[in-house]
Amino acid sequence: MTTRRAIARFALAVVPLAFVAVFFLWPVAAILARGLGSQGTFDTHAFGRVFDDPALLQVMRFTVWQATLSTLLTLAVGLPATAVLSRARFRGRLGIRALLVTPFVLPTIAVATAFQSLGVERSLGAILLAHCFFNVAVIVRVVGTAWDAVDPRAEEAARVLGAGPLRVAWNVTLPALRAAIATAASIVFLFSFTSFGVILVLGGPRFATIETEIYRYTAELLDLRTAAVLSVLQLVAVVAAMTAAGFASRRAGGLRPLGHRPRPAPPNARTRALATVALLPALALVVTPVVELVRHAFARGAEGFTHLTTTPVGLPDSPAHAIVTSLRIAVVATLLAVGLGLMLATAVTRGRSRLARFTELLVVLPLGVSAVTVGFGFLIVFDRPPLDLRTAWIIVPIAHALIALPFVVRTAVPILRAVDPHVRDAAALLGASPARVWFEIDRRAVTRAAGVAAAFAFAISLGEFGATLFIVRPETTTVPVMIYRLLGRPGATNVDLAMALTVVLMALTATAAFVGDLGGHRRRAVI
Amino acid sequence: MSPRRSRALIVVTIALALFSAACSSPGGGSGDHTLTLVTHDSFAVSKPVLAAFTRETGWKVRILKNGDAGAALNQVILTKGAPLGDAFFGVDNTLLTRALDAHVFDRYAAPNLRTVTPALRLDPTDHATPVDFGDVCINIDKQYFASKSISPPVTLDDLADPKYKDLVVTENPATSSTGLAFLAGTVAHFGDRWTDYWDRLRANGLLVVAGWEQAYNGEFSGAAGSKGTRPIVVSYASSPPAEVFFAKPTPTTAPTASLDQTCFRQVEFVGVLHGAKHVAAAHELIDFMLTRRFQRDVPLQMFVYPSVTGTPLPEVFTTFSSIAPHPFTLTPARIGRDRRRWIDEWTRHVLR
Amino acid sequence: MLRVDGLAVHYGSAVAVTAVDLTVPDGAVTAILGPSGSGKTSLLRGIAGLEPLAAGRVEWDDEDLTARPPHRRDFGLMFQDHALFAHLDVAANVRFGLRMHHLAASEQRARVAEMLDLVGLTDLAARRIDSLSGGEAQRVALARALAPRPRLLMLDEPLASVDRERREQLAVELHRVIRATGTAALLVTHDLDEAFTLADHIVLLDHGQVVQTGPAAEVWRRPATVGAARFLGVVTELTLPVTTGAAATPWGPIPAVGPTAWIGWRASDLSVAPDAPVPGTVTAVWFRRDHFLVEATTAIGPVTARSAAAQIVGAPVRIAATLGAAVVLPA
Repeated sequence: MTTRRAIARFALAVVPLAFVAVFFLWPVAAILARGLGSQGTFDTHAFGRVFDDPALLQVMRFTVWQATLSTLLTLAVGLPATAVLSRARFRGRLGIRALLVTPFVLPTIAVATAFQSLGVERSLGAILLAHCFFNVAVIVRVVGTAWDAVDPRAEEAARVLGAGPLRVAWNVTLPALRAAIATAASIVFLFSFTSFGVILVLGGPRFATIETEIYRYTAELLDLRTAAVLSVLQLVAVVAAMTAAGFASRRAGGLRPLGHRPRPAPPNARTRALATVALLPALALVVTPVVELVRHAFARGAEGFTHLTTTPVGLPDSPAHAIVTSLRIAVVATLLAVGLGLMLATAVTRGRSRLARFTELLVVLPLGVSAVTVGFGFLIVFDRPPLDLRTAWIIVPIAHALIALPFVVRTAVPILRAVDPHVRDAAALLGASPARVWFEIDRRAVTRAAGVAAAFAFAISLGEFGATLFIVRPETTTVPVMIYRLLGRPGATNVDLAMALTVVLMALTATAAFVGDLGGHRRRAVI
Repeated sequence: MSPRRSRALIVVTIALALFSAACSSPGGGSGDHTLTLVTHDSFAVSKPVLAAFTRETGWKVRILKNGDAGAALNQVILTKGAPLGDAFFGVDNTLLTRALDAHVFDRYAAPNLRTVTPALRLDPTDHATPVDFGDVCINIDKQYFASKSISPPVTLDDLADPKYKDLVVTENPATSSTGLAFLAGTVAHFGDRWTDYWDRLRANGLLVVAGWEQAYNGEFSGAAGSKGTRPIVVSYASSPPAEVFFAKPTPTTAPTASLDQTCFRQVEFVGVLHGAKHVAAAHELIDFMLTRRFQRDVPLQMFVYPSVTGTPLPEVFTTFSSIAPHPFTLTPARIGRDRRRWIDEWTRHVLR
Repeated sequence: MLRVDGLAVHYGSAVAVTAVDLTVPDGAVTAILGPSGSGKTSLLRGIAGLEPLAAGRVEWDDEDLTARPPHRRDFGLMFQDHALFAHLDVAANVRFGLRMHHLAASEQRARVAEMLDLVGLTDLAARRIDSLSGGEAQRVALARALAPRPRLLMLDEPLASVDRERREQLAVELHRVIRATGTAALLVTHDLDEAFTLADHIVLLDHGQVVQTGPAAEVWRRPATVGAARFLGVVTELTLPVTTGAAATPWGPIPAVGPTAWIGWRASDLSVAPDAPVPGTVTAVWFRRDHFLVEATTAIGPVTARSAAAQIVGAPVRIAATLGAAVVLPA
């Protein structure tokens, strides 16, 4: 019985893993091999040469430095906000939480433009602020979910034993949250480390990170060797960060499923003031650029919106057509990501923790490899029929699906895990075959997980810019790319149109993400 | 919702999605009389012109856009064994030697090659055919200088004048082809002492940004809708007419101007890809690109100038811009050989 | 009739249940009784088919069910935490098993009504699960488990989440319902009251092994081991040599076997009485509503006895014993 189950689980995991292997591991391995082994032998000197180059060393140092600072800043802004959102109960709490999560899927180019519009000077500070803007969502989601599950009785016990609130926080709450904080921090570090659009636009030429250098060496200079070395270094850093997080997760304890929901103390003026102070920086950071962008778009009388259906001179499509194209791509990408992601999530929830960790790592890898590396890998790997997909329209949704996959799995696993195994057993004993059990019991959790994950995958695909830019796009212009192109030409109407499109794009992605986050927090039990 | 209904809904949604996605896949691929043109993001041609080509030759054109010029070329080089398309448009003179040395093009001498301005025919072996050219020049915000009663700069040397301190923005040649062209122009003009010039610019408060978009729309005060504060930017000779063309309402004078004495000439080429499936069709396309119909379309589509001598320019170009009489030029071979070194030195002098 | 032969359940390298043999007759309630960690739930799950067996067989009426999946064994299981389907209402929960067995719609309706009536929940048919009280939820779980007429009903600590006053009432109801349907019932618990209120037969389980089986009264009066005796409430112990087939206790001789005998009394078997044979000194007194529990030291060691009246610590008392209630085991 168990071997059959194990085989079924394996089969379930194989399809998505094969997808990742074929469309990610293979191209990346190919391009790295091309770079490092072009003479037929593995060129280890390449690493030496890179480490001898002071400019590249400076780039590596800076990358680590800005990623570390970004992580610290994001934690500083995000943790207090998360504390308020988890501990306090007030009207609009879920709405504010969803609001803080939304920036994550907003297109980098739109946000960078908004920051510039606000007059933020190109600097390290701007980079850090932008990273914080995007990644507060990670803290709120990851640490927030864990905080909700912390058993308050441990804290209550400590307080009864005489510990003041600060000591309680330090000795009881923080250790319980250590795993979640470590995970969240490592994710933020990962994103800041591999950040591209933000560095490019808000950093300016003075700041180069490994990611921007990989782009330069691959696309601009075709120096595949140096690019390969940098890619490998980036991968190592990413794997190290995720492993460290996984390690911290395992060692932590103190999290138990909630027995009873604590009744929060009635708010007095002091706690309200504290809560506002804790929540304000995060809210201000998230809301201001968005407001600015909208203001900028409407500043000249909403001119741009009237031209959405006309084809601008020099562009192949009208913006309306680009919107439709983006939506179509998003639908296909979402179907791929959710379908594969659910398969993987199911295999992970039913399987052992080792499989779960390996899967999590594998699925996160695409986020740690530069899109240009993958894109160029596609070019050399899929060059022969029947697999000549290099110019097929499906490449863009596949790329989006690869990027959305870790988010789908991450979102789905806790929802699937929440199904009480006793309820499954009860159904089985009442005569439900395993397929029937799935249909009656798990299906609801799966549908819910699918819904929430789909909302996020959809939002991610709509706003995706970096990878789409580097991948061959046969006449399919997506909205972020069109915005980028419109801003790449002089002229007022182009800028107006770009702003109008940006607002439309932000509205679409924000709505999808907002709906997704709210859906993930429904109080009513599914099972 | 009952399970049956929700199931049906899911099935219908999936079917719709797949159907619409299938419908959106353009052109059906490289079978049935479609030739594929590989190019960069800035390529544009108006639909009627392209339709005319299809009408005359029976070939449909599928356009693949692969990033900026450098990235697109590198992808072409990477896929040399199995090219992505039949022809590649977008090599410019700063990248020409890289393309030729990689042997990505096959030789083709179009019959109407002789109509092209001789100075633009930079490839004597006829592997690359010049289609258009653009000048990378300093642009100035006329309003700014008028309001401050300062006389605007005229030459490259003027930019280092303390009068124009903190007023100049340029692009990083490592990441921007515009910046690279301008750098090449300074090398051509100042010869071996070009680094001194840049030292002076740096001392004069030069601002460097990563790409044209940030420089022009972000920092340049003369760009429409820009909050920039710098009135001097490295851009194109075609930018002033573009400002007029895209402004609402259309002004009678251009708000910006291009400085003739600071221009570097960028020539753009097309070529038949080695190993192309539809070689004859590629030839026809290249021929077409040198016809008057196509050449006339080029200025307002890509904001560059036609390579064929005597092509009439649109009014906004003739009124608000002029073709620099003596632009800076360098041979493609020289650029190919030294660009890396120039960029490294420039970075050392200007950024670090 | 359920018959279990040499059943063993392992979790990885940990052994939960070893070589258990037991039979569960029809129309009677059998209780598997044992302390926490004795393997009771694993045994239950093994019988239900929810855990793979490391060894052994499960048979019903001589038919080997070991390889059959749980959904085809026709067994019912009532979970301690009820495990109700939160997305369905009360009636739909009860109907679930009937649906799985493909009964006709009219039959389903009739049976659901019948079961709800049996457990007294007809008025709550359309209620949502999360609005039920603990007792109501438990009754829904029972109705749900019984609806498809299982040949064996298994219950995992059915009275655990019920408060004391209602426990007796609910136990009686449970007994009535099970008897009314004629199902064989197997319940699992660590609670003596629960077991001896509900069960006709008792199986004592400790560390994954069967210690004793038999009718409830028999197991109660004659526990098979010292450990079982202690588990079943013996608190006063005495070890005495056996001479001529009897051990001489201060209250009189008790027939015994072997060189030494272990004698045990429950607190209810010893009492404080003015003319009792054994003197002692009170060391502790607890109020137990209808009696006092008195601990005293005596010449034969510490004893625990009941007293109708309150006692004073340090005061002298006299202890009487019911000889016939003593548990006697060879030592």
